[in-house]
Formats: sequence, C-alpha cells, structure tokens
Amino acid sequence: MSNALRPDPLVLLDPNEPAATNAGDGGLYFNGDIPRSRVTEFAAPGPGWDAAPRRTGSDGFLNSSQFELLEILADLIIPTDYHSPGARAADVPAWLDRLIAASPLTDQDRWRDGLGAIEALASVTHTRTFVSLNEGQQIALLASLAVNESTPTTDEERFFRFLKQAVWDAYYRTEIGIHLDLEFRGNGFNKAILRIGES
Amino acid sequence: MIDAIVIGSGATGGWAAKTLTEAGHRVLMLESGGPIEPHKHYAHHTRPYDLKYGNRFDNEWLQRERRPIQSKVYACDEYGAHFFIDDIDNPYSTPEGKPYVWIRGGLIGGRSNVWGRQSLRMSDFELKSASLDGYGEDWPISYSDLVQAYDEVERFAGISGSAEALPQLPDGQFLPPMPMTRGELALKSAVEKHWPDRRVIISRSAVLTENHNGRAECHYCGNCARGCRTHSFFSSVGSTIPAALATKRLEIRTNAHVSSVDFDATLGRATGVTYVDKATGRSVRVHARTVVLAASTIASTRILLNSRSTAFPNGLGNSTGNLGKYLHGHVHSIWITGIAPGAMDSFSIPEGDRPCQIYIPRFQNLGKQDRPYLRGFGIEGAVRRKMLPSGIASIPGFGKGFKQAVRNAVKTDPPIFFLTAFGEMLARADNVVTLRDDMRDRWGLAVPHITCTYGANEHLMSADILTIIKEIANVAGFDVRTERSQPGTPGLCIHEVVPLEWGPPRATRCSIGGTCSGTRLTCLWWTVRAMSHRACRTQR
Repeated sequence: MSNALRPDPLVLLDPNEPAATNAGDGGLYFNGDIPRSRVTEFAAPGPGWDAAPRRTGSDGFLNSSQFELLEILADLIIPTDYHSPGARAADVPAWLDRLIAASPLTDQDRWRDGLGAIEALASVTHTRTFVSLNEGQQIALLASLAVNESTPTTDEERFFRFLKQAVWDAYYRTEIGIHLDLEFRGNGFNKAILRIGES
Repeated sequence: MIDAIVIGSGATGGWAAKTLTEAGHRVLMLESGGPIEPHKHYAHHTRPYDLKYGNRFDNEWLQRERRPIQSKVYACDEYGAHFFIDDIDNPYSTPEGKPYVWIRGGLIGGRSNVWGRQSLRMSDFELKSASLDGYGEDWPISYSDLVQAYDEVERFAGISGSAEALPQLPDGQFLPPMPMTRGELALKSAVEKHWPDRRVIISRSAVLTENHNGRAECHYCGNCARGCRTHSFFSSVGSTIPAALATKRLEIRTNAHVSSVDFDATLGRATGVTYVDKATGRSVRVHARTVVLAASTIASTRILLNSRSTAFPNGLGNSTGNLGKYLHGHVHSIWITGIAPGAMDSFSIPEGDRPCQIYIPRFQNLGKQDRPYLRGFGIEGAVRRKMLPSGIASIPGFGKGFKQAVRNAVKTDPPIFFLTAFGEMLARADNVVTLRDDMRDRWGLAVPHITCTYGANEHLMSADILTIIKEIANVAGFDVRTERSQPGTPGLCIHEVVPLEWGPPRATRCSIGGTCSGTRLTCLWWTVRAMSHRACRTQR
C-alpha cells in the first residue's frame, strides 16, 4: 500500500485525528438539521441484501471481470450474517473501485496484479476462474492465503492482507457497517458521553 | 463613512469588530477569503459514506493539486478542505531545506472555524520569563494587567474547565468542566501520586458545557475540526461577528485581499487600506481613522512590510528593522500512542467524543532551573475508545468469524491513549518573515518568505518531552505502541507569533518570550484591551 491510502493502525491511534473514525448516526436528533439515516431500507434481513447492483455509469478502474472477482472476495471477507448485511450489500466493491481509480499508479498496479494473482491461483489449482468455483473452494483458496497473515511471504499472501484491510476499512465506513453492524451511535447529537467518567 | 477598518475575520478580527461596533463605531471588516455558509460548510455530522472517497485517502494525496501545503494539517481533509486557502493561488517561500508550514483559513471566520479550542491563560512565569532565566525580554505587561480582560473574554466566549489554583496556569471564569474517562482518572491518580509536582487536569476548552450567551451547549459528536453548526465552540462566525452585526454598524467585504495600510505623512497617521478585490482584480482604497490588523500573524506582518511610503520605506511599524523577526510557535508533535489496559470499562460503547483532552500543566523550570534547557511545555493527551476496536488490524482470518470478532472486540478491546506536548520555542532574531518582491500571488501582491527553524533549546526540550511522556505512560501502566521522537515541521501547530514593537524603538524589544500555554486567549485579551482603549480615545 502506498502512502496515499491511510495506514490502518495509525488511523486508530493518530492523535491528530480525534474522531475521524468516529462516524455514525446519533440517534438522538436535536433539531431538523440532520437527515434521517437511509439505513431503514436495509432494516429487514433477507436475500435482497446481496442484490445491490453495481452502480450505473461506473467511475471505477477495474474491468468487469476484475470487478466481479472483487465482489466475490469482498463478500467472502465480510459476508452477510445473522446480524447484518455484508460487504457487497454495503456497496464496498463499487466504493473500492472508485478509490482505486483515484489512487496513485502504484496502488492501481497493486490491485490489478493482486486480483490477477488470485485468478491465476484458481486457474492453477482448479483450472477454473475463481468466480466459477463453489463457495467451499473459494473459502479454502482464500484460507490458504490467510495462513501466514501476520507474516506473509508470497505476493498472493501479501495481497490478501492488503485486500482484507481495504475491505474492512471500507465496510466500516458504509452506512451498513457503521449503523447496522457496529450499531455505532456517535457522530450525532449525543449526551451519553457525559457519563463516561462515572463509575 | 467608516470609523474603523478591521482586516481579517478570525478570532481577533471578530472580537475587534464586536468591541468597536458595540462602542458605537462603524466598522468595515475586510476578509481575503470567501463567505461562509455554516449549513453548507460545517460538516460535523457528515459521515464517511456522504463523501466521495469516505475520507479514506491521505489528505496530501487527495488535495495534492490545489492544497499541497494546507493538507498537511489534520483538519484539511475530505471533510474540511474548503476551510483552507488554495496554495497555488497563495504561494509563499521558505529557504532550501528549511520547511515552514503556513496554514491559512480561506473563509469568513478564518481558522477559528476549525481551531483546537484549548484556551489557557498565560502566567508571569511566561510573561516575565526573561527576568527568571535571562533569555530575551519580558513582556511589558504582567499577569495582573491581564486579569480583567481575560475575565471578559472568558465570560463571553465560554470556557469550560476546572479551577486548580496553580501559579503557572491561572484559573479563569469557567463553565463546568467536562469529565475524564476512567482511563484518564487512572492516569491522574497514578501521576499525581508518583510526582507531587505534576497535576493532571481536564483541558480548558472553548466549548460550552451549558447553554451560554444564546449558543447551545456541546452535544459531543466529536468532530469540532469540521466546524460546528450549533456554534458550541467559540468561533468568530458563531459569536463575535453576530454580536457585531446585531449593532447594524458592521459591514463585511469578502474577497478583499489587503495589500497595504495607507499612511499620510502630512497627517502623520494611517488613513485607510488598499485592497485587491479578488472578483474584479481591481485595486480599491477605503478610508478610516482606525485600522486594525487581525489578518493572522504572518499575513498581518506581510501587510505591514508592504505598507511602504517615503516616511516608512521599510514598512509600517518597522523603523528599527525588527518587524517580522523573532517568529516563533511551539515545539509540537512529539507523541506516543498505545493501549491503556486496565481501563477496559472506561465506557461501554463509544458514542461520540469529548471535544477536549486532559492537560498536564508545565512543571519544568518553574522558579528554578531544573532542566538542561530553558522554559517548558504542557502535556496533552486522552484515553478513549473509538468506533473501531483498538486491535482490529490484528484480528486474524476472514468471513463470519472475523466479522463477529470485530463486534466482540468493540466491547472488549481496551481503549487507546495518546500523550503529546506543546513546548515553548525561544524567540530568535534569525527566525524571520520578510517580503519577496520577486514572487507574487495570483493577485499580484508580494508574498512572505518565511525562515523558521528549531534551535538547540528546542531539540533538548524535544528529547525531554519524549522521555517524560514515556515515563508518565509507564507509571500509568499503559502499553506504548507507537512514538514520534522528532518535533513536527515548524508552523504546523498553527500557533505562530511575531512580536510587534510598541513604545520607543529599542533594538531588542521584539525578543519577548514565547509561551507553552499558547496565545489564543491572550490574543483575544489584547484585542479587547486595545479596542476598548481605541474606542475610548476616539470618543474623546
């Protein structure tokens, strides 16, 4: 990852950024200033969550097969579960695609090469495209890249680490990630903070 | 007919306009930047998904085309870049290998729209530091001269804080203090027990903890640096400018880029101001008996240096040639961060953020020289949770298990902490703002050349800051994970000061001491005092 994308640990620990990751829905509205969250559209669990279409008139970087692969990978990393919709329903792939389009060339190369490497791995191990594998095969292949997550040695392993961080970082900036999954209620009109020092 | 021209609409400009208009003067305020629309520009409740890139890019990359310098400051990000000037249209220069970051506001309200809100009084340890340690000059005033106007400023602006009866940090007229988190209370207890001369207190912050002068109390969303629509922290846009406008004696002109103060040698006084109307590119002259320079430290210096006449060929207020010298700010950005174990239950879920930090007032070189450098620093920090768990980057795996582990960690991961410091920079004659006639901004005005470096004293202090904040973290039982040992680029703390001369010329007059407390409150004090004085005199 180049310097252009935020390094993850420092996002959480940067003293100059008091609340940059504190984004969310206050819940307690003070006046008419803040629009109601749009998350009600997703409030009921169901298969419709996974049906979020790719944005029309894409301003992204990836071609359609790369994008299709990214959609699958993102949803494997953060799937829909009993609690909340996953990365694909949260539109993470389209968002990442737009970020990649605005990224430095080195980052764009990294995405293209990394996705290509995963595709090549599927081809070597199964002689099929990653997308056409069944879910079990996809998970097994990804798990083989996650084994050395803390100390990756191959390009594919390094890309998995990079990809995973990009996906969760993007997911927890979406409405679904912030409001439905984390149930974060900050960044709004809120008095609860006044209780933080009470025992 | 205008009685006074105020150049600049930030913290001091707003206060000058308020004081003068309330005393019956008709005031014209000139702002180089554009108008502000709080409902459009203030982004305190904007979420990442409301932004094109979710604030995910490094600021400097995202703003590389128009704001390569401004984007070095935390607030010039995807949420708030519009608060800052365009660096390409507004250049300045620095010597090779000596960077200086000059952060400038680009809208009505200036940097008060997004400032850090820490509001500390200066004490005689700072005002009279030359008498105490022999370096530089004392301020020509002492704390007792400041008390009344400090009171007035605090009562109007609304400063929350706790009274502590510390000689190095005088108490003020405070609104109720904000609470500390449990982790901060633990830090306080450990530090004060281990070092009886160190106190851990809540910051004195220009954020309202109750409704005050028609402004709403803070609602703790935690995003002050993006502007506050409820005006719960002090800014000129939220308080002093509305007060001045209410008198119906204030006119504000935006895009009025001042080039010089006009001086009439026959009358022996300033007669007005010349500015470039950015919309038309035309030069405009306005007349008034009083001119107030509140354009920020370096911009006001530029205007004075550029106010050249036969009587004052080197600019106004510069007959000794000292104008622009002794530029200083703070030693800043030495920090540690990490995990505060044992403070796990500091609060159950982060629901926003407290808009202030904790503060450890200066304890070095007070009354006796006990450190290998002059002057001192105050420590700031916090222990808190954020939306994402502190250990998210090390949660292994993927899929449903990962997702559940993140949710669990939100409830169980310990909070993070950080400690940093702002230290006094010695005022040195070779840290100087000059004017470059060979380099012009988009509107044809000569731009500043800024030379500012840290000296040996600042480097000795920097090393001590890192040692001391690590000791403090250690005593509190915190786990340090990251650190920064070098001070940040001069200027980036946005606390710059250039002394001006007053009274009869004297060679060393400008080398007054800096301050570890910061000068925001003192700037406002100075504005109140000077403006009240000016208002009285003009009436007579």
